[in-house]
Order: sequence, then structure tokens, then C-alpha cells
Amino acid sequence: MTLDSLKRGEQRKILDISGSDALRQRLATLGILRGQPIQLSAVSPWGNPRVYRLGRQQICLRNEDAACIKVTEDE
Amino acid sequence: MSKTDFTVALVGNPNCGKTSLFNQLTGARQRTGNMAGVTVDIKQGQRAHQGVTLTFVDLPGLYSLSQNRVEERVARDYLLNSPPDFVLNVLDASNLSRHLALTTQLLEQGLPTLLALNMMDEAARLRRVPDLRLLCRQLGVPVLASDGRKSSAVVPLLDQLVASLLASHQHMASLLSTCSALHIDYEPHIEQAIKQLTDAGLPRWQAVQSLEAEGDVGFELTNVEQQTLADALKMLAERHDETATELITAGRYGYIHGLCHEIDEAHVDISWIDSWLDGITLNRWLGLPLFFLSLWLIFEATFTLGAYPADWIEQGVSLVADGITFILPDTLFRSVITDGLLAGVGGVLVFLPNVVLLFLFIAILEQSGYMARAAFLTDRVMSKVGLHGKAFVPLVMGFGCNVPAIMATRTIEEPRARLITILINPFMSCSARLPVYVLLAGIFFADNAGTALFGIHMLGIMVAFLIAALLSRWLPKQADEIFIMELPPWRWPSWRSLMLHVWDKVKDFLHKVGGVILVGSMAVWILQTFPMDGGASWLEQLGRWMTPVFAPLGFSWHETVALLSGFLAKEVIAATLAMVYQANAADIGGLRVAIEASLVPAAGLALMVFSLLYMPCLATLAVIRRETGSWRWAALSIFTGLVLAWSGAWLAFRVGSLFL
Repeated sequence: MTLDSLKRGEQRKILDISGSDALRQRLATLGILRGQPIQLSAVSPWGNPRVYRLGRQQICLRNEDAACIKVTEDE
Repeated sequence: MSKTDFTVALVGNPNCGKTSLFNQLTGARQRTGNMAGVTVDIKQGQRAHQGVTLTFVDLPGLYSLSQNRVEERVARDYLLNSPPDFVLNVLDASNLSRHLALTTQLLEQGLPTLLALNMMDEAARLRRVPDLRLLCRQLGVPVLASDGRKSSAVVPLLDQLVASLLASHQHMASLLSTCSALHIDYEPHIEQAIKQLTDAGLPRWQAVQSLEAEGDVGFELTNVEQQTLADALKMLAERHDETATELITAGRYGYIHGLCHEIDEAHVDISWIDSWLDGITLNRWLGLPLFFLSLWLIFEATFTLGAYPADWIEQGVSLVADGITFILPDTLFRSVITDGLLAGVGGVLVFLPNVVLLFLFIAILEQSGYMARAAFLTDRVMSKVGLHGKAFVPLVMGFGCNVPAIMATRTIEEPRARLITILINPFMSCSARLPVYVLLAGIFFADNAGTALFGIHMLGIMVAFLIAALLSRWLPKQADEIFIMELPPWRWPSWRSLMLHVWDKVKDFLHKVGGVILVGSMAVWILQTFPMDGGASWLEQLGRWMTPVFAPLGFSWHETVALLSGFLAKEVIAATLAMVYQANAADIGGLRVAIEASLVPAAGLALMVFSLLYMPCLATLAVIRRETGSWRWAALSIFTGLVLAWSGAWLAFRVGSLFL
């Protein structure tokens, strides 16, 4: 499954990141890498963008970009 | 002869508390300078310590030196082209591993660096206090605790900086290089690629950075090096699913993890108060209403709290006016002081407290971390009208002043989104328009003045979004810039930073009062006083000649000339109103009565709407011309402004006449 289909409070591990090189570079510099646990923490009024939590960081991603991040099926 | 002037660059991730520390280090001795060839403002400030003058340079917050965004480019090129004597790397101790990633890049580059760990109290609360001595030993650079909110915390930092600077300067003088670059062992294929590049003649850090940035670097690469790099990247792409950037970043995190393996941040929880605040402010249903409620509170407070000090200034001004009327004989000279200077300049000065309060509230929104959350909540609406998420900050800055706000759009890289953000910015009601609103709202909506202020600002936002929607249909679409934003942790604003910010704004306001507002008031006074033949003044003649255009809006010649003069700067509208009405009123308090007697409430509303929407002031037009590179956009801005203002004010007058 991909990151954008997570429900609130659910935590998964990142399996794979695809998408443009520019996107992957931005994600990497923020520490969004394979093997990291990631959690959905807030959803904006229109369901897009959403806030994800990685350790102590909270990062806001648009669903189009979150769809490029593959995560494990369960915790 | 030893050197006593040194440059120290502050480098760190966004939201690491770098700017508070900078303020603490330099105090009020700051200036904003545009670095050569780059487009983002960089602040500089000085501090003398132990006989050495330190010039601190506050570089924009950045995540990585190998990423080609505006902020990163500025810092990267600065470090390459005008290397500072020392780098002060500021880190958030409570989120150390992410912040250390940038540090490893600085150290690989062999830059003389000192680490300052902010937020130690936060780390202590989480029971994750990093071992500074261990870090220092392993990284081979000095590591100190610091706190941008306490002035006592910067003294040891300055001591260490001066000691390190003098030591490294002496070594350099003796041609001894002591700074050994950090060496991280990367994944084997990356190491192989690095070897090929170093064999081609690149230093190791440049090899790593060009792989990490996939060739997009600040230094020159020769043809051979470029070819080697392309081959190496191809080799890596064949053998790995992950990009070179991801592999190298993973290597950095691996190294950092080894450094402080006892700090297991993946399981560190966000504090309950942060989660609680986020639970409310980011709530899917409550978030937006709460944001608008806070904006309403801000305008309410701007009006009500500002009224007290405004009263004192008003009393002061009328006291001076009375004194002058008493001392001086009734001559033209007395008239220029009382009817020109005191009525005009004094008429604007009265609103200083309101303007200052508004700036203070905006700064609190920014420093507490609420601004980023508001940007998150409104991103969808913004992207629907062709705006980038990065447009949020320049738009809110527009509530202060449109000129720096338009310059701040430089961080938006996609040209169409940037152009739209520039063109709609004048509809974000700047603080120069605040005096007119406060004056009129106080007269016509005395019971709900704060709500009226809020309403007029909301109207500005709505018009801005409407125009953005139209422009985004009309201008050719370009590829959207990626929108990824970090939400900073909630923080108490630093008192010192707030005060410095407010002091800056007070100075700006006073400069404007002594400059363009003074000139405008004098011009209006001359037009109002001459010719002294007992008939109508030039000003009145001009106003009456233009009045047919404005009569459908309910304005008399007084408002007409006030609006004309507002082209110089919007504060002048209030100054001119004060002067034309005060010509037959005893004191400033009489101004309100005089306006109320002359204008119907609906016309007052129309005047507020007109002041909101009509053309940008001279300074804003100049900056629109400069930033878009053409007078066409500036002209369009005047034209749309005038058309919208007239129709908006007409509508407000008609509808207002029914209800008010």
C-alpha cells in the first residue's frame, strides 16, 4: 500500500520511494528514507495535504507525493 | 599584526532557533543586505568580544548543501564564494540526528565549524540530553550548549568562538592546516564512484556533493569530471533502486546513528502539549474556523488595545498644537506648523500603536509555529487558484507592508505562481491602510470596530483569491513545484526577538512619517492654503473638479483629494483627511465629529473599500516593476485596482445605504 491510504494514527514502515528525482531528493534531505517508521497525524479540511510524523518531525505532504511512497501493510 | 575582524556564518536547519540566537548575539546592531548575485535577503550584525570584532551572517535555514532550492543555493554559494572565517552550526538538540545531517556536510567540506546546540531544555524534558563532550571528541570540533532566549548562554559561545578563531588564524598564518575533513564510509558502490571522481581530480567532499546533488553543484566541473560523474551515476542507477542522494543520505544517517546510538529518536514522543495543540489547531473541522477566529481576535485587539496609547499621542499632539497657537502670532508660519505639520503628520502618528500591535501579532503567529500550520490548512484553496504553498508567508507579510512581501516571493521558484503572488499582494491590506480603517471604523462602526477591521481584511483576501483564480486561468500553466513543508514544534516566541522586530517596525514607521508623509502633508497644506484670495483653495478646486467621478460612491471633494494623495503612500490618506477636515475643527478629536457630519455611514464603508482596493502605492509599484521586470504588470496592477475599487466602493455604498 502507499502512504496516502494510511488512516489517522496508523504507523507503517517505508518500503520504497519512487517519483521524480527532485521529489526523492527533497524527501531524503528531510530524513524520509527506506526502513523509517512513519505515521499519519493530521488531515487538512479537504483531505489533502496531510501531516505525517517521523520520530519528532512533522512533515506536510500532498497526496500526489505521498502516493510515491510505498509502505508495509501492517506495523 | 594579528587579525581582529572575523566573519562568522550561522548555518542550520529551518526552525532550529538560529534567528533568535543571531538576535541574541548581535542585538540591535543589524542590517539586512542583499548578497551579490543572490536574491534572498541575508542579515548581518556585529559584536565586539575580547577585543575582536565578529561579523555574524545569518544564512537562510536549509536542510542540505546539495539541494538546489533558492535558500540552499544562497547558503551553498555563500560558503563557497566568500568563505567565512568560521561556521556557527546551530542545531536543535531535541531532534539531533536530522540536524546533524547538515553538520556532516559542513565537516566533510572541511569548514572550520563550531556546533551550538539549542533547545537543550526540550531535550532534557525528553530525557535525551546529548553528551556534548562525546560529540566533540568524535566530530573533532567544539560543541556547546546555547539558548537563543537567554543572553547568559551566548557568552561561553563567544569565548569559544574567539579562542577557536584566533587559534585557527595562527595556524593558517603558519601554513599549517589543522582542519581535517570528516570522512564517512558510504555504501561500496558509492565509494567506488567517489574513487573514480577523486581520481579525476575532485576533492572528496566535492565528489560526494556532486553525486548527492546529481551534478547540480555550486562549483565548476570540468568536462572530464562531468563525464565521470555521468558514468558513475549511470553505474549506480543500474545497481540500485535508490538514487545516489538516497544512498548517501542513508550513509550519513548511518554515521550519525553510530555517533549517538543511545539516542533512539524513532521512539521519542512528541510532548503532550504539542500533540494537544496540534490536535486542536490541525483538526479537520475546527482548524480553519479557529484560524479565522484568531485573525479576528488579532484585529479586535489591534483596535481596542491600540486605542489607549493612541489617546496619549493624540493628547500630546493637541497639547503641542495649543501651545504653539498660544505662543506664535497668527501667521502663515503658525499655520504651516499647526494645520500642516501637526494635523497631517500628527494625524498619522496617532495610529502608530495600532500598526505596532498588528506587527507584533503577526510576529507571534510566525514565531510560535502557527503560521506553518495555517499554511497547511489553506494549501488546498491556494493550489486551486494557482498559488504555491510557499505563497502563504508573502501573503501574510502583506498585512504588514507589500514591499518586503513582494520581495519575499523570490523563494517561489515556479514563475507563474510567483507572478500571481506578486500581483495579488497589493490586495492584502497593508498596515499603511490601517490608519484609514481605524479612523473610519471608529466613527461609523464604533461598537464593532474590530470586526469591521477583520471584515475589510477578509474582503482583501477574497478579492486577492478571486484575482488569483482569474490569473491562473489566463496565464499558461507550468509544472507545479513540489510542496513539502516541515511543521515546526510549538514554541514560545522569544521576547527579545519580538521586541527587536517591533522596534524595527517602529523605526520604519517613524522614517516614513518623517519622509513621505511629511512631504505629502506639506504638499497638501500648500494646495489647501493657496491661493489666498478668499475663494476656494487649489485643493478644493481640484477635488471639486474630480468629484463627479466619486459622487456615485458618496464621497465629497474632501475624500476625493485624500484618495488622490494616497498614491504617495497610503498613510497620507489619513493625513489628508485630518487636514482637510480640520481646517475648521478645533482639535484632532473634532476630526471625528467633522467626518461624521459630512459622510453618511455607507459612504464611510465605501471609503474603506476604496482605500483597500485601489492602486498600490508608489513604492509597491516600483517593486512590482522590478520583480516582474516589466511596467506592463505594474500598469495592470493600477488598472485592475482602480476598476475594482470603484465598483467595490459603489456596491458597498449602494448595499450599505440599505442597511446602515
